[in-house]
Amino acid sequence: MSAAPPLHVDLARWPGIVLGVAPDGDVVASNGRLEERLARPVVGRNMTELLDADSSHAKWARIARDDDATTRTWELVFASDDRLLDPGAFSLIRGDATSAWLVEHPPVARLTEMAATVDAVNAELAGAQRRVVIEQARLARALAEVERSNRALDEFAHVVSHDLKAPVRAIREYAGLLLDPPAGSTDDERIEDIRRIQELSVRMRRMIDDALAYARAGQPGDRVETVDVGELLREVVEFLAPPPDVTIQLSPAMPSIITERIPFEQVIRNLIANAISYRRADGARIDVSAREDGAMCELTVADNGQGIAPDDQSRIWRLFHTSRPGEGSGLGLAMVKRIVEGHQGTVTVRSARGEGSTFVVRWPRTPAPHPVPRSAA
Amino acid sequence: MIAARDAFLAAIRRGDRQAAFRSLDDALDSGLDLRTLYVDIVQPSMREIGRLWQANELSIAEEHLATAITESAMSRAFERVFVWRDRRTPRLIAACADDERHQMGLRMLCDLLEMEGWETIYLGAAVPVESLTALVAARAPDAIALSATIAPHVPRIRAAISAIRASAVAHQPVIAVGGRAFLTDPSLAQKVGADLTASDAGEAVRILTERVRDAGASS
Repeated sequence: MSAAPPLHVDLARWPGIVLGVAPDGDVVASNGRLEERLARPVVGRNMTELLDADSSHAKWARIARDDDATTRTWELVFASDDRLLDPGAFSLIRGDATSAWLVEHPPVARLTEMAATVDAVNAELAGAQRRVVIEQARLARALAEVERSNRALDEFAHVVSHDLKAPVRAIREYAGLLLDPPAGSTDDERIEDIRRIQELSVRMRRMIDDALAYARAGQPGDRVETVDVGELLREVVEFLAPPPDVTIQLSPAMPSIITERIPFEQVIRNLIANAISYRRADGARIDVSAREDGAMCELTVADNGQGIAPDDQSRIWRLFHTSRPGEGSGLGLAMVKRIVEGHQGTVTVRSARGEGSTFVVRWPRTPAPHPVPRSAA
Repeated sequence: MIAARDAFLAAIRRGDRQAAFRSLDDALDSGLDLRTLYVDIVQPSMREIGRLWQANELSIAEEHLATAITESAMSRAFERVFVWRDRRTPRLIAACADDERHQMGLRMLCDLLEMEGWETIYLGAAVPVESLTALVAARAPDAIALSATIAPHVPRIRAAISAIRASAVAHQPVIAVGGRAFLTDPSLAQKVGADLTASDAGEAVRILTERVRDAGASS
């Protein structure tokens, strides 16, 4: 068996970067690889000029200082003004006291390529996941909205069919009386029956109009504008022209919101009109205030009127419900609820019989239109 | 929260996906919001990973793994808290001058803006200037966010900004720049022609929201 040949390496042909470095960091020799990659001469430069400052200067200071630097792998980034190399792994081989070799472990091209691919795939997945999350959330919201409107439709159909049946039944009965008059009935009575039929028809017509208005009320439109709530309230009060026994107090400093003016105004008008209608015999005081609360504008209409009995509080929002048949149409509060919920808001009431009522509307400060595109709705 | 940060950092440092997910889940369960999660847990943890690499305590491969795990953990956290809002305005387009590994700051910004009701379009890493300007022309964003982690990539941002300024004549978006290159030298933002920069995603959300609102009010 022959003796092994003496160890030596032809560093000029080494595929990675090899630099001979003096103790002060000056590069005294190079195998040319770093020159190729940075496209600039490197011999005679200091390591601190060749290494990327952010990532590698602190590391280089340790390499120069640590006695055990030769036992570890160091990842360093070389850079010039217009180039930044990928990090490379290096070993330090100390020669004599005056120099050391910094030798790059030749990167496995295939591994580097695979790592880049994994990064890219990971980034694509993260992006795709975000898009799925956003789409999922949109669909969940749309589904909730469809379910809500289905429930509302059921309720609406029920109320309309139930409430319209009463006048139809009455008309049928009067018509029956006319076709088959009871013995001894007079012409005057028959004319009275015809008049009743006419009245009932007018009432039904109004109920159908109201039902249609109600059905349309929940749908947000597209035009939004900045609405000064205080100014709008002053306009509404002026429009309603409250009778002299009604005092309407508007709180100072109200916010501005970005919304569809017309439905918002209708909500305010119906609430204030409702408070005026149901005032006590000795008049009314109505306090209206509005404030910002996170993403919502909270509008409060408080009156000292007749109040609502606990049993009635869930019924007041129903179409055609009115505590004074023959006076109100029973549309006002139903409309308020329908419009407010159609605009992703809420409306609640706090009241006790004889102690007035406080209606609180929470309305988005910025628009939240229907989640289902109009073309699909 | 410091405990949550330590747990998250320890998990990504040893490449433990499940533990990383769990630590963010726990943080959300304890009531922290996404912004706090990103700005006070994820961001400092990633900076610490970078520091550990600089101190030769971690290899590039380990840093890649920590970044990839963080990326998934952020997606999961976002999924847990995101709630759809019907109107998604304003709109932001984000692009990163570096490679994929450095896009996390922009992801945070996009996620936090989405939570605030913005629509964000994330273009990814190393987007060619022509693609960026074409998209800006087509989508007319209110704001654009560009990031460069590495100083040599800053000229790409300068080129992108001047191309956007030249092409988006009708509607000039607010342009924000970020990334470590601008953190080290915030005056760089003005030099590349940007309107603003911020030290973290949370601050960027605040400033962008203000600036876009002001721009809307004055137009």
